[in-house]
Amino acid sequence: MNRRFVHTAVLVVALIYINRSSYCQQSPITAFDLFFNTYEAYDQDIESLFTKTGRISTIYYDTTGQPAIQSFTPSEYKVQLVSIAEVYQIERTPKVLILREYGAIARIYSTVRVVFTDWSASDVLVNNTIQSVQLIKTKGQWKINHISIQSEHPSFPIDSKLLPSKMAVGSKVNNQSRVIEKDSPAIPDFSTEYDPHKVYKVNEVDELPFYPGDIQLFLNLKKTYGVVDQPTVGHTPFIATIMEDGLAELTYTHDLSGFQIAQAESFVRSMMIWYPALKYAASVKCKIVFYIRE
Amino acid sequence: MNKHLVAILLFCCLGRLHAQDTALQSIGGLLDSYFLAAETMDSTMRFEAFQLLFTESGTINSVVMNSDGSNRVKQGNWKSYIEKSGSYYNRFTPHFVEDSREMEFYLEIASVHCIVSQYSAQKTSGKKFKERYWMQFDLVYLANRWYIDNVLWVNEIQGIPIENALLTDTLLYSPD
Repeated sequence: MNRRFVHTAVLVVALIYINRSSYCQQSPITAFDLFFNTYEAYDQDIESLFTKTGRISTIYYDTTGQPAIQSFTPSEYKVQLVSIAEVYQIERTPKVLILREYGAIARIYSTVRVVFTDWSASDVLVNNTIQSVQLIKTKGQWKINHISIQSEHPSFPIDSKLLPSKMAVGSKVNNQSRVIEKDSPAIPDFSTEYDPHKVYKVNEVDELPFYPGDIQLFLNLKKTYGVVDQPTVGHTPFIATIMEDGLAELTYTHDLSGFQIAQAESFVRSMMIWYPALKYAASVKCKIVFYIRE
Repeated sequence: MNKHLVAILLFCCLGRLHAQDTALQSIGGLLDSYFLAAETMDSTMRFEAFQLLFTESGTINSVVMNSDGSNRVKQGNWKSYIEKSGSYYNRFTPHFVEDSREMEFYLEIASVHCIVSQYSAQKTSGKKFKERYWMQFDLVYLANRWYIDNVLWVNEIQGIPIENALLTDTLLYSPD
């Protein structure tokens, strides 16, 4: 009796799973949708949503600020997600989709807002992206064949048709569990002058400095040098200033030991070129406090 | 005399390289170069031409739609495509005509859609065959020029104009 019950239960669960996955991939949109839903459930099988040669290409910027491409297989991409998910809760929301479809191929060019929320400190990092997703119908199911991903650059906002103005402001908010969203005026307000010589605090700028490329690279860099963003026992504060051109400089080390200064210098020198802070639509200097292991 | 000849040859080569680099700085120039490369009959030269145009991990995929609605999918990197397409080039001489083009791009990425007519002249009989395709190109801008990261195409289905591929549906997926 028990064996028959277990057998039936397994069969029902299997049928539900098969039905769900085939239903979800019967159109390009549902295949796209399933990928974004799966993104939040890190233990799910991302690989099955892709074709056998499926690939994800992301653009990042190297230490000289030049664009470079990093290509992942779905398995490699999943490893990245799992790694980031250890630090951040990830929420992805597609905003506007442009769909083309003919026969057994389709293309969805879309804006996707990605929100990273720090599990411990409730810091929120919002990153608008363009994701161009190519799909192929194979064996009756739509699967993703290729994705190109480019993050929004603060100086080159995504077209308002693809990103309605209310969501166009991507902001990093320290120590606050909220996301800044504001209605951006069509023409930036230049009426108030900014001070080009001032080193602004993070709460004084309109947009915080933003580290380019894959967030995991920055997390790895901080981990390598024992650096954290928040006051932590056993760590000493120091200040890095992100200049108008995005270069980072070590500007306050008075509390650090000799070894810590050397480590902090290496940490700052290893950074890529940041997207600088913005004040009244102009790039300004902005200081960021980090804490380094004693 | 010889020195002059070497200097002239070097100048010509540099000029050609410069012209090629300039062409690849525009999306149109890159696509023109792709179609020229795809028309190159010598496989070694075709390989070299594709190597110049594609990223290291670049892929070429195709979907052949059959009249009964079924399809066959071929996938691989551009290097394997050159190996596998050898038999086609042994039998046919291709010529590509780009009929129309649309694109979306943002900073370093671009998605380009082309409606392309491919004319294949059979070497033995001289007969010409025409096929029309929707070709999708994923491009990336690296080191001051465009590269092809991915190509996918599908052939026209009888009774459904391939131009329909360029019709777009814009969906507001999650309005605030």
